[in-house]
Amino acid sequence: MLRKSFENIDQRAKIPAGVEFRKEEVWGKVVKASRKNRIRYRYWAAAALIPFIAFSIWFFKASTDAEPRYLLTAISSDQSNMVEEIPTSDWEQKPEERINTATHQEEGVYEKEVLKPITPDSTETLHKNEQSKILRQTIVLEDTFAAPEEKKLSPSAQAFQQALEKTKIEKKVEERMIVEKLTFEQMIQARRQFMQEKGSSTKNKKQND
Amino acid sequence: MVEKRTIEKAVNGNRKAEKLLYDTLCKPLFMLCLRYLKNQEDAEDVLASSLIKVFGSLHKFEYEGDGSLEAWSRKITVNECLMCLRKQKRSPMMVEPDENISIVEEEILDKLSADELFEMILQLPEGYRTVFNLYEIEGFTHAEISKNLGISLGTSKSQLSKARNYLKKLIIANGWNHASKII
Repeated sequence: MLRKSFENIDQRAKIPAGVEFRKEEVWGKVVKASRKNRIRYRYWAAAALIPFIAFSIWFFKASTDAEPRYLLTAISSDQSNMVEEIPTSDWEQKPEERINTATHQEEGVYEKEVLKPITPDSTETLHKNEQSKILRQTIVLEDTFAAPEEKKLSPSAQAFQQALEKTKIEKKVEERMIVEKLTFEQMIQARRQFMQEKGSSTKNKKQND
Repeated sequence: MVEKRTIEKAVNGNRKAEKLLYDTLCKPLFMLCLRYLKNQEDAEDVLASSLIKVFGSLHKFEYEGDGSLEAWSRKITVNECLMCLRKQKRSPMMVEPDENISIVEEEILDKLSADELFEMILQLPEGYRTVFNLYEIEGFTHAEISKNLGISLGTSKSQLSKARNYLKKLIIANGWNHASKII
C-alpha cells in the first residue's frame, strides 16, 4: 500500500511549475454564484406570493362586490305599451366598453363586428321587429335584498301618523261561553220558543215538499 | 484548522467567515482538482463549483472535530472532479506497461518529496490516474471505484496495478530510484 507516502499530499505539495492558481478569480466566481442564488431565491419567493395575493384579492373582493344587477321594467295598464324601457342601467353600457377595449388589441376583423354598439334607436327597431316577443305580459319580481326607499314625512305628518297608530285598537274576536241561571218560568219560555222555531222550520220543509 | 465558530458564521451568511474558510480550503482543494483533471482551467472551474456546493450546503455539515470540514469538502470536490471527467467523456487510457521494468521497492516512494510525488501523479495517463487517486489517496475501495466510474471491479484492479507499474517506470526514468531525499 502506498497510502502513507501520499498522505496529505495536497497540503504538502506546492503548486507545480507552470500552473498559476488564480485565487481571487475563483473567489469572485464563488461570490457571484452565491449572489445569483440569493437573487433567484428572492424571485422565486416573489413569484410564489403572486398566486397567494391574487387569491386573497379575489376572495375579499367577491364578498364586498355582491351588488345584484337588475333588469328594470314597469308594467302599465295601457295595452299598447306593455313593456316600458327605462334607459338607465349600467348593465347595458359596461359590456360595450369592455368589448371596445378588448377588440382594439385584437385583430381588425373582430373590431368591425363588435364595435357597433347597441344604441337606443337600434333597440327600438328591434322591438318593432319582434313585437310579439316583447309585448308578452311579464311579471318582474323585484329582489327583496334591495332596501326599499323610505319617504321622509314632514314632522307634522309624522306626528299625525303616530297619533293614528295610537288610536288603533286591536279587535280580537273571542268566543265566550256564557252560562246563565234561569228560573223555571224562563226555562219554559225558552223551551216554547225553541219548539216554535223548530216547528216552523219543519212546517216550511213540508210545505216546500 | 477551521474553528466551529467560523463555520457557524459562514452558515449565517457572514462573508468574512466564508472568505476565511475559502483561504483555508482553496489550496488543498485546488491541488486535489489538479490531480484529477491536470488542466489548470478545468481545475479552477471545478474548484469554484465545488466551493459553491460546500457553502450552499454548509448548514447540513455536522462538525466532528478538527479536519472534519476539510474531509467533507474533499468528498464534495472529488465527486465534482468525477462529474467533470464524465462530462468530458474521458475514457481510461489503456497504456500497456513495459514488462522489462524491474520491480522497484516501495521504500523509494518514501524517499521522494511531496512535490516529486505530485508531479509523478500528474504524469500518469488519465484512466490510471483517476483509479490511482481514488484508491491510494482518497482511500476508496475497488467496489466504490467501480460504482463511481461505472467500470467493472476487474478493470479497477487492473488499472491500479498498471498505474503502479507506470509509476515505477517513471521513477526509473527520472532516476529517482537512487534518490536520497527523505520526506
